[in-house]
Amino acid sequence: MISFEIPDKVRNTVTLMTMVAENMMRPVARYFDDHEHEIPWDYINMMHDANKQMGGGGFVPSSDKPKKAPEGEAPKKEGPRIGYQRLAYSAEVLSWGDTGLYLCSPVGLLGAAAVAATGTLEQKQLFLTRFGGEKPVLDAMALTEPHAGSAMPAEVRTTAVRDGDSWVLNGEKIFVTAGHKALVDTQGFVVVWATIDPSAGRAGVRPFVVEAGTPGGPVTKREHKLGIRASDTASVVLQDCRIPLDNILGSPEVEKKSGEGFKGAMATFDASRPMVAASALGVARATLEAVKEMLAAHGVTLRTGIPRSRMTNTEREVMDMEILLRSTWLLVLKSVWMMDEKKPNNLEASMGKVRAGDVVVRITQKAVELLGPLGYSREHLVEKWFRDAKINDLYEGTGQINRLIIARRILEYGRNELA
Amino acid sequence: MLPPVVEGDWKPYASAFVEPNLDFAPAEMRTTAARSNGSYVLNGVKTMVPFAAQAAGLLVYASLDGKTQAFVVPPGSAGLKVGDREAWCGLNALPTHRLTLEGVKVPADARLGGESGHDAQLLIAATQTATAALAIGLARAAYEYALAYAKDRTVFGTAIAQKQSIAFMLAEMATDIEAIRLLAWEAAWLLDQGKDAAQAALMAVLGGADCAMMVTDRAVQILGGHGYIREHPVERWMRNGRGVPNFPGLAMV
Repeated sequence: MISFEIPDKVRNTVTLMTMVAENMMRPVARYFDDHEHEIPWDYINMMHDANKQMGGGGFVPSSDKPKKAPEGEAPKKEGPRIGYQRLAYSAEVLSWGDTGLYLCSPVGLLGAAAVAATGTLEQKQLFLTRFGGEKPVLDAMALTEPHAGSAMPAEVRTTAVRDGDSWVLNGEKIFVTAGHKALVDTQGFVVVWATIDPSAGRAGVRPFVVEAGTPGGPVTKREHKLGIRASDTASVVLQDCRIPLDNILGSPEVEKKSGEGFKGAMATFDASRPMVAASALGVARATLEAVKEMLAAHGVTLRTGIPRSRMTNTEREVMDMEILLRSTWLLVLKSVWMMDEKKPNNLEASMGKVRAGDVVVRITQKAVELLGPLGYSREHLVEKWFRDAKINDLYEGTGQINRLIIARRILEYGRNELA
Repeated sequence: MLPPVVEGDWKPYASAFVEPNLDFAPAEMRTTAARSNGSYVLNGVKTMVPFAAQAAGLLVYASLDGKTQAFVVPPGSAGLKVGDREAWCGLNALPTHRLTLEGVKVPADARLGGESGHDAQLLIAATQTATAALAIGLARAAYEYALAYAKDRTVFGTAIAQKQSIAFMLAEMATDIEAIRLLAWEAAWLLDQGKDAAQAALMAVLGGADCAMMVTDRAVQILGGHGYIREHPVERWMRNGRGVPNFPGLAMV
C-alpha cells in the first residue's frame, strides 16, 4: 500500500540532521560564503565523529555496503529498505542548513555513490570503509573536461591505458566538486571517468578510483563561484597517473555492441541525481520558510484555505511555492523509493532532477523579489540561497540534458532518433 | 437515506455547490440557511448543478450562521426553481442547471449530520482531491495523444518528436503530471487516514488546475493548426481543462 508516512528511522535521522543544520551550519553559512576556499574543519570533524559513532558506515545505503555476516548465524530479518530514502532526507536537511557545507560532508557523497552503485564487494570494502576511519575523508566525482560537459561521458578524452598491473591515466578534469578536499586536504578519492578504448566511443568509458597521494594526479585550480562557496570546485590534471588494476569500476572488457559496461557505469546517475534534487529542495524549503517568517515578522499575514481569486499576490506566490516544493519532493521520494526497491528509476531520477532544479531557482528568485531590499541584502541568507540554488540546474546533468533523457524515455527513442 | 442511492438503479443525485459569483469561495456561501420553527429555510442561487432537472435528490450547500453546511433537498420542493440547461466553454457531456432557492423549507433532519451538523471542510477536501485526480486524468489523456501525434507527424523529413522544442515540452508535461499526481495521492492518503487534508487537498486542486491547463495547452500547440480543429480531441481537453478550478462541487455528482 502507498504510504506517505516518514519511517521512524528516517524521522530520527531528520531530527539529528536538523540539529546539525541549525547549530553547525546556519551560524557559519555566511562566513564560509565570504571566505571562499577556507576549509570548514569544525563541521567536517563534527560530521566525521558523528559518523563514526553511528558505525562509520557513512551515507552510503546499508543495502549496498559489504555485509559482515557472522559465520554460522542466520541472516537478520530485513525491514523495508530505506537506505536511499534516508540519504535523500539527509541531503535535504543538511542543504536546508547550507548546501556548500553539506558538500563538505566527509561521509561519502558522489564518488562513494559511484562505488556503491557499480563496484564489486571487494571495491566497496576497500574504498568505502575509510569513511569510518580515524580521520575524515572526502570523495569526489570527476567527469567534465574542458571541451565537454553535457556530452559526457560519451566524449571523454581522458585515457586509461593498461600497463601490467596498473592503469595509467592521462587527461584533464574540471568542475570536480570537493576535488581539492578529496585529494589534497584529506586522504580521500576521486572517481575519474576515462576511456579504455578511444575507438569504441561511449562503450569504452569507465569510472576509475584515483586515491589521494597517487603520483600524477595533482589538483591545479580551485574556481571562484556564484554560490556554494564553502565547497571547492577543482581541476585535476592527470599526468601518467598510475593506479592499481582493480581500481576500475565495472568490466575492463569493451563490449562494442551491447555497451553493457558503459550502461552499468551510468547507473551511478540514477542514484546521484535524486540526491542533487533532494539537496536542491533543502535550499528551496529553507527559502520558503524564511519568506514566511520574514513576512510574519513584518506583520504580513498569509491567510489559508481561500480560493486563488481572493489571494493577494504574496499569498498566491507563497501558495505556488508550496505546491511546487511539495509535489517535487514527493517525486524525489518516489525516485529513491524505487532505488531502495531495486526498481529501474532512470526516468524518475531525471524528472526529479529537472523539476527540483527549476523549482529551487524559481523559489529563490521569487523570494528575493518578494522580500524587496531584505531579500537582496547580505544581512540575510536569502540572497545567498538564490546564488546557491542555480548550481542544482547545472551539476549532475543540466536541466536540458535531463530533459533529453526524459524525452528519450517517454518517446522510446535512442540517441540516434533524438539528439 | 443512503441505501436507495447505493442499492437501487443508478439515479442522479446532485450537489448544489458553486454559486454564480466571480469571487465564489466554498467557506463563504451566499446561499443562506436560517432556522425557522424546527425547520431550515434556504435562499440563494446555485450554478453548475449537474443533473438538476432529473435529480432524485439534491444536496444544497448554504451558509448557516456563517458556517458552510449541506442540506438534503427533495426535488420539487416549494420555492425550488430549476433553470434551463447551462452552456459552458467545455464539459458539454454533463447537463448542468442553475438552481434558485426562494424560501425553500426543509425539516431539521435534512441538515447533514443532524442537529450538530458536520465538518464541511472534510467534504470540500474530498471534492478537491477528486477534482485534482480528474485534472490529472484529463492532462494525461492530452499528453498521451500529443505524444503519439508527435511521433507520427513529420516535418523536414523527421518526426516532430525528434525536435527538442517538441520533445522538451513533452518531457515537462510528463514530469508535471507525475509530480502533481503524487500531490493528489497524498491528499487522498491523508483523507483515508482520517487526518487533516485541507491544505494538501487545496494544493492538489490548485496544482492540478495549473497542470491541466499547461498540459492541454501544449497538446494543442504540439498538434499545431490540427490541434485547433475539432476533428482532434485536444481542443476539447483544453476547454475542459480550463474549467478545473471551477469543478470542485461538480465532482460531487
